[in-house]
Amino acid sequence: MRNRSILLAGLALLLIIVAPLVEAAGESGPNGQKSLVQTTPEKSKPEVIQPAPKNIKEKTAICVFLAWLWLLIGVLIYFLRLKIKEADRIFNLKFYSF
Amino acid sequence: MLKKIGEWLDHRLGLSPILKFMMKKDVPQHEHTFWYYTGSSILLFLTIQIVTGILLAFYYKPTLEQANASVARIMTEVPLGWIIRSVHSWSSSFMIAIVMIHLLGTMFTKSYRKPREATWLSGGLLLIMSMAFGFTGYLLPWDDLSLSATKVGTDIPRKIPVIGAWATKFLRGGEDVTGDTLTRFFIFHVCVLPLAIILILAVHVFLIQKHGMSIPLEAERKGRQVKGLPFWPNFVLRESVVWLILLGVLLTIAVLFAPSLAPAADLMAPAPEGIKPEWYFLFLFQTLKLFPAKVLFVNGETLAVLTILAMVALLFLLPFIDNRPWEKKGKIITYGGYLFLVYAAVMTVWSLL
Repeated sequence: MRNRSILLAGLALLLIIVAPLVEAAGESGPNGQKSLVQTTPEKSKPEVIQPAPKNIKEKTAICVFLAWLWLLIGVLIYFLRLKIKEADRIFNLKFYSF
Repeated sequence: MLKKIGEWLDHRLGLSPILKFMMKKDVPQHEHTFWYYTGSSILLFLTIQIVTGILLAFYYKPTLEQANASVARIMTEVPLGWIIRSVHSWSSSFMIAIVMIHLLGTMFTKSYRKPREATWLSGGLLLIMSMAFGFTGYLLPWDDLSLSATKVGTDIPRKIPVIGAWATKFLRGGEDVTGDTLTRFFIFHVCVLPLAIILILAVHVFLIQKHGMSIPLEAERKGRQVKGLPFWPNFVLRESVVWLILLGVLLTIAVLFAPSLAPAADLMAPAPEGIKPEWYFLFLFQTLKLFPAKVLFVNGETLAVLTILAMVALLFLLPFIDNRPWEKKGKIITYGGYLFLVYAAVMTVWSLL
């Protein structure tokens, strides 16, 4: 469990480190500063609105968000596992009167 | 400090007997224990639905002119609006999927047997309500596809003899799908259905607490003792792990596969090609398409709708039909359930092709 948590945290950290590099590379591109709102076409004929971020900055932000999310989930699960073990141990000692 | 607040509240509200009742439960430990996790996962997704739904309702305008534009605004201008909409949309699919898994788990483990018939009935109602949530919510973005799918969906009850025409008119708020239908669906989606689902859910949870969780049929028949685990804190902690994983999967999918928004529907425009309802209605949609125009002297569509209604009635009456589940009849019903599952899967895939 400990090794898995370390691996998960390592993967998340790797993403966090790599993401700004990708972001920096993207910002130097021609579409780097476009925001999500600007991607909505300003044509007379309405078109389908795609919610997915188009530019690299927003894509990177999403990657970072997901990395942090899974890192947080991994850490919380690790602590929950400890709590489960403790609760089971107390239960096995017949602490509970259920 | 927290203990003092708790005591203060308990003195005034007298909540401790209720809390004791809610927490005092043993969860049987056996080879089918994983089915028990589905129930609380439904509650998790329902909570997410309520929270994201409230956030969306701050900006959504249920009128013909503004519905599509307000969703577009949510997606493009409101901070994190597109994620909130995506989470709302995906969590509804997750919720219905888990409600179905929960129901199948109950069906195949025969947990609906005496004295849990009422629990099964309330669960069946909750499934129908979850699907009604999906159906009413599908129209709200007011694009061509949702308009056409609603036209098809609200036309189906018309085929029911005697009350059909009235039912369609009631759903639509008139003869056709218009702005009135949109407002009506919005009220159903945010007011009527949530109130009803919370009420029936309370009954469902109360019945689970009252009867406890069922043990496997074999163990019950042989009078075998099944080891139990305290609901609080042992099982709740295990459930929390499942919730966290589901939450992570939901957010990842919602962020990576956010739903798009088509232009506003034109009431005068012809129906677009490839009208399809949400995935959980696909097998019914395909079944309706399979029926011929006439079967002997009966209208094919009427027969199809009546067949579907009969299947729903069978599903509700299952605990009363399968009243001796350990006998041959019970086994035949189980095989029937598997057959239906295969049928639904085949029809869904066929509809997608």
